[in-house]
Formats: sequence, C-alpha cells, structure tokens
Amino acid sequence: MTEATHEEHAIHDEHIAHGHHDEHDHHGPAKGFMRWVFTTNHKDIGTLYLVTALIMFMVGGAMALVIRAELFEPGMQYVDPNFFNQMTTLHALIMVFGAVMPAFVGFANWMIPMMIGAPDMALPRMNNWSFWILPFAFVMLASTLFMDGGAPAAGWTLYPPLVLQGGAHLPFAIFTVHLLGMSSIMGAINIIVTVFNMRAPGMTLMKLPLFVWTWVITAFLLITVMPVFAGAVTMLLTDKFFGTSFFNAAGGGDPVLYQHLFWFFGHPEVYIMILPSFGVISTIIPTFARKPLFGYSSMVYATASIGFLSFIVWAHHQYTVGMPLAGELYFTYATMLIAVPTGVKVFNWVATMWKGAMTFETPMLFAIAFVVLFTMGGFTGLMMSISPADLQYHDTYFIVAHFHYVLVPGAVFALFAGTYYWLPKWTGHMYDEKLGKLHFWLSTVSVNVLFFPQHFLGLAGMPRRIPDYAVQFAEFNAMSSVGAFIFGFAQLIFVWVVIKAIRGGEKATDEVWEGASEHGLEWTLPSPPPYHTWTTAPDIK
Amino acid sequence: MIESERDPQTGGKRIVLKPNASLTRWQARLLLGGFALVLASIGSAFAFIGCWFVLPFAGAEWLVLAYCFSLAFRQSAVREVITVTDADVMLERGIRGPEQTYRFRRAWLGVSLDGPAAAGHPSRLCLKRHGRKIEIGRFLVESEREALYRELKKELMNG
Repeated sequence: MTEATHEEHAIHDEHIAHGHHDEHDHHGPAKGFMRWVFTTNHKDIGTLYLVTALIMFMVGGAMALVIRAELFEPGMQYVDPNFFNQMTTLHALIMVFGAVMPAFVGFANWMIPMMIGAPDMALPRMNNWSFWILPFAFVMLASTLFMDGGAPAAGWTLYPPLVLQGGAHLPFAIFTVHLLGMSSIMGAINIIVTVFNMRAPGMTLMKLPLFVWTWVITAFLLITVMPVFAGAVTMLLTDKFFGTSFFNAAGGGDPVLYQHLFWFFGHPEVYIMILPSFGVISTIIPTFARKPLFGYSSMVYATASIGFLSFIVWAHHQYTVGMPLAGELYFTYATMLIAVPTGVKVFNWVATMWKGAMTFETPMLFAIAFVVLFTMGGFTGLMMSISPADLQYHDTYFIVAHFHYVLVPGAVFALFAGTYYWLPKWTGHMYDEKLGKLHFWLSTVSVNVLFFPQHFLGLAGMPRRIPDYAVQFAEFNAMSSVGAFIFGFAQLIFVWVVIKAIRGGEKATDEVWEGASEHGLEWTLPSPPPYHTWTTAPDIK
Repeated sequence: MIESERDPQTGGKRIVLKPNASLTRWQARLLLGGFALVLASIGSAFAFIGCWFVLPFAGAEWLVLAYCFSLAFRQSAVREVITVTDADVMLERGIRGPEQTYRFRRAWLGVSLDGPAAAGHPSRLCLKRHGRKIEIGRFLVESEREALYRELKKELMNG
C-alpha cells in the first residue's frame, strides 16, 4: 500500500487522467497494416480469421479441382499418382484446419462478445496469438509441396506405416499440426473464459444464444481431444526419428493403436466443425420464420448430448480392422444413438418454420438447404453406422459422398448462411441480394451434381483416393467433375458479393432483418458496430 | 457494480466499485476440476495402453487453461473503494488489497462526468481537484457511472 502526500497525488492524478489509457478505452483502430498485426480487438481478429479462411477455402478448393480434373475421365491425364495423393491429403487438411474451423472461430470472435454483452474476448492478446500462428502454420504446410518426396500423401489421417515412409515432409507436417492445435486450444480457452466470466448481468446460461451454446460445447470438445492428437503425432515423430516403436509392428508396436488415437480425436473433430453450424442455423431460422426457436432448452441438451456421444463412437471408423463382435455391436448402437439428438434438432428447426411467416432471403435459403442436405448426409452416416454394411462401404466413394454432404452443404452452407446473415451488421452495407440468390442456386444445384453421383460410385465399388478407375465409373465421375467446376466457380460470386458489401452499397439498419432484435443482442448495436462493442452492458430481459 | 454503505458511528460513506464477473471462484474451481478429471482420465487411459505422450500434453493444456482463468479473474478482481468522511475523501484501488491510495480534502474535491470522446465510447467519471482529474469506475457500465456520479455529487455537496 502506498500512502502519497497531496502534492504527489497531484502529479499522479494528472498522469492517470491524461496519460496512459490502454487502447481499449478511448481510441478507435490504429491506422495502416500494423493495426492488423497487433490488434487485440475481437472484431478485427474475427475479420482476420474470416479472410484467412476464405483464402484457404479457395486454395483447398483449387486442390479439389485438380483432383476432379484428373478424375473427369479414366486414365492418367494431368498429374502423377503421388501428386494426386498429396492433393487429396492437403485438400482435406486445408479445408478442415484452414477453412472450416478458422471460419467458425472468426464467427465466434465477431459474434460472441456482441451476443453476450461483453466488451471483448477475455484474453485479447492471446486471441491475437491464436490467429497469427495460423498463417505461419499453413505456409509451413504448403512448403512441403516443394520438398524431397513432396507433401504428405497418406490422407488427412496420417496413418502409419504409410506416412512414415514419405519424404522430408513429416516433421514439417507434424509441426504444422502442433501449431494448429495450439491455435485451436487457445481459441477454445478464450471462448470458454469469455462466455463463463464476461456475460452481461442477467445473462444466465439458459439465456445464451444457441450459437454461443454450440461454441461452448465445441470448445469443450476441442480442449478434450487436442492433447490426444498432439500425443499421437508426436509418437509418429519419435517412431520416425528417435527409434521408438509405438506404431511399428516390427518393434512390438501396433499401427491400429494410432487409429484409435486418431479417431478418438477425429470423430469429435467432425462435431467441432458441425456444432457451430447448428448454432448458426438455429439463429437464422427463427429470424426468417418470425417465430422464436422451437424447444430452446431441448436444443441445448441435444447439442450437449451430441458432444458427449461424439467421444464414445470413434471406432466406427475402424470396423474393418478386425474388431471383436461385442465391440462392433457397441460401436454400432452407440453411433446410431447420435441420430436421436440430431433428429431432435432437425425436428425443432422444422417446427420453428411450421406456420411461420417465412421469407426467403439468401441466409434463409442456405439455412433451408442446410437442413435438407445435412439430413441426407446424416442418413448415409446412419447407414454406415451398421458395421456389416460398413464393411461394404468402407473406403469407397460412398464415404466420400457421405462426409462431403455433411461438410459442404452442412458446415460450408452454414458458413455462407451466417455470412449473408451478419454481413450487413459487420460492414454496415446490405449485400447484393440478386447475386446472393444466384450464388445460392448455383451452389445448391452444383453441390448435388458434384456429390450425389458419388453415392452410386461407392455402391458400385469405386474406391476412394485413387487417380484412375475402371471405365464403368466414367459417367458418374464426369458428372461429378462438372458439378465440382460449377461449384468452384460459383464461389467467385460469393467472394465478389462480400467485396462489394465491404466497399459500399445500401446502408444497413441496426436491426437489418425485420424483428431480428428479438433474437439477439447484436441487432441492438449500430451497423457496423462501434470499434469497442459494449462500453455499457446491455439490459437482458 | 456499486455497493455503498454508511458508517452509523461516523456518518461517513463507503462505496465499493467492482467490475462485472459472471463466474464465481467456486464455479471456476468446479469447472477446472471437471476439466482436470476428464483430461486426467483420458491421458491416464492412453498412458495405460502405452501412449503415455498424451498425458503430458493433457497436463500442459490444463495448466494453460488454469492460468487463463486466473488471468481473467485477476482482471475482474480489481476494486475501487471510495470513503467519504466529514473532512476527507479517500480513494483506494487495487486487486488483493489497496495498491494505490489517494486522500483528498473534501472541501476542495469535485466530481465530473464527461461525455464520450467519440460515439459509442464510454463516458469518464472523474474526481477533480485544482483542475486536475483522476478517473474512477472505468469498468462500470454507463448507467452505473451515472448513478455513481449523482451519488458522489450529492454526498460531496452535503458536506
């Protein structure tokens, strides 16, 4: 305790009153490039995440087009098989860790403080770190393309022993994975601390918007599974360079052990990508149905149940490794159980729309497409949960069709829906509705032309991850590739719509969508919101 | 948040200002304990089957989580205590205890509420003396700052 004299106070008073306010108090954003490097503002960091995710989406999408160009017709045309496998691996890693996850973290950064009445994220400097790790990690991953032996070509699962037989890429790929993991963990911790400790007075947990709830559960999943993945890839590294034999059968290890580790992480990872989508859709549908969300608390419990169940079903990815019958039965039943809370959610979305005064702006169109097409992806997942059936589907294009239905018209469509929904709030300008609808229809039609035929390819026995195939699969592959190119180019419309809204256009009102302020605090803020969001905590009803 | 009480013996007033925190220490301990249990269970189970590399990663992650919670708590544990007596006004500010203490003669002290420097920015509540100001209640919400301004003004004018 310091006791100062009156004269000392005078000096001290001046210092405090006119001197060092930190940047969060009275100043707007810094100017120039360095604003983005050093920013600790949640909206700036959200924007950085979203822009990075969009760039990664285009890079990963370009890789998918390389794959689909090669598969347009039988025979080898454009790339060699090793490069083809590098493309499949990098496409997956970039889309999962570079596009979908960072995009949802961008949404979280932008929206969570605005939705819970907090002035910023709880740990703003850590927030800056968790973003800036990402670009460096991806440069490191991309650099493996130019190394001896090229990039990893063992699939996104990085299964041993194949991945251990590659070139110089392994330590770089693993370091990338560690960096991405660190970034995700820091982001998840920030979200948990923010939501639990910085809610506005009166904002109880059961008053949290569904988007915030889904992110809290996602953050719990991330924190729980990331150490398992970090441990697994580190053991790959020690097997390769330090003479251990965790996964080396010749040294007494077990490659299947890696599969257990990977899928203990990998299955919840799927839900890490899909739960925030549920949150976005649960936010959009009530707005455009002009009704409150049907069954709010059941949605919260269903999301938590899905999160819990995601931990106990991992081995349904491994039915073909030779599992005891009891194990197959357990994982079959446990996996099928996930359909129950997921069904609750779909039912609630449909019930929210039932007899609603619906309008069909672009976010709502994407939300409806999400509900229909994600449900289709869910049903094919249900088919594969049955272990005897899965023996037939395993490693065929049926699997490719299934998870792409979940992740593209699932997670990616939710991202589009969310972007169109909040873009006027973010930029202060309405987006071009005509171009938005054009983007929607082109995407929705082409995504089905792209992935629906792959179900038939899989059922007919076409294996996944191959650059060449028998002539019998030619028509469906050609159709799929045409769909891929239309879908790919349709995304350029999306990029243009976003750029156009950032550059100007019709001014957005604060509420933007009719009655939206009944569905979220963010709509009571100006469009665009002030640089420092909630200098005054909002009143929670 | 603002808590104020009057000393029945001296008639002086004590006002305690604290930022909003929606999590109590007990709840935070419960949350961290839950995470510790889950992470230790998963790490130990994998260590038991030979994958002991998972355990240190899980431990390190829990430590980071606990550190982040403690940082957040530190930010929300700051307190400002204003004690108004017949002759003096004392402002104490700190986290674990009073780290800065200011004592002013009540007769010379005023209070001001300055409007925001720019739209959407907070107002500034200051104790002022001889043209010099010391800001208080930076972590309060706008309505609380206004209420505190009225309360302090009334209290100082009554002296």
